[in-house]
Amino acid sequence: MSDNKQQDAALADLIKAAYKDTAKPSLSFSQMVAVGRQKEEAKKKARAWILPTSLVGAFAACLVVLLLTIRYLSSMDEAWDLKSIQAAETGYSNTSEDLMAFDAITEDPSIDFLVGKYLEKQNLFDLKETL
Amino acid sequence: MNLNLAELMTALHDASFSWALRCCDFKRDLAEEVLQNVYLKVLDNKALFRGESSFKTWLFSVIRVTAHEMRRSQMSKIIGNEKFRRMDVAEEKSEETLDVKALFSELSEKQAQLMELVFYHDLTLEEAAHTMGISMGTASTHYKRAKEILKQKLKGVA
Repeated sequence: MSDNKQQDAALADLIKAAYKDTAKPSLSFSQMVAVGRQKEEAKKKARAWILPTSLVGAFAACLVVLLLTIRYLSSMDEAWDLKSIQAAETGYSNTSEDLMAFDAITEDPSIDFLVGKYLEKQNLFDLKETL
Repeated sequence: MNLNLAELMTALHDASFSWALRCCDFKRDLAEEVLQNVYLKVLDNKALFRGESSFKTWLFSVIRVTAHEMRRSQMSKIIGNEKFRRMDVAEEKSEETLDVKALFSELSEKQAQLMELVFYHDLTLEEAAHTMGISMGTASTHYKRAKEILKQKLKGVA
């Protein structure tokens, strides 16, 4: 038993000798606390910039997407033009002459006028006269 | 600042640093950073001492857990980084560190930690187990195996 204790003591001496100079900190307790506080403050300051920077970045990204969308839609304006759509549905080609005719129809949508316009379009003036 | 806690930590400063070194694989920069964080945690009541064990045992547990967390985050940040290389060079230059490393070279990390707590910091096996967050049975097994290995080494030295 005492042999065991002697061995333990020898082990403790060996380990303590190995650690003799290794375990000396370069800073005292209060210095370490001060350095720790400084680092914490620096981290807080760095963190304070993250939110505003992210918000500005997100806003800029939204603005770019919005501008690109507006540009794209304005290039599609003709396709959204009501007159063009209706002209296409009624079989007219999308020329300015046809659009003028369409304007005239909307101003006077009587049957006679419409038939006259149709025949005029089909070059059937003779038939109109016959009728 | 809680004066009582500050006094206790001042008294344990050297021992805490050597334990932090062990938990940080003898990287002095990291050990100092760990200790700074631990002191702030304790002083700002982020880590609360409830008196369930001795203050030393509790403080060493906080150091072990903090070192584990920081090593994990540091490793992911600094692998391949210049800072990492500088820390390695600084470590190689310390002959004392090599002494300690040579002494525990044949022990596992847990065994080395246990031996340091028992033989260098004079904790009981139960306190050491509590500090390391392992059961008494596991601590006892590690202790016996490590002691056998170190005794063989001791015979070699003698």
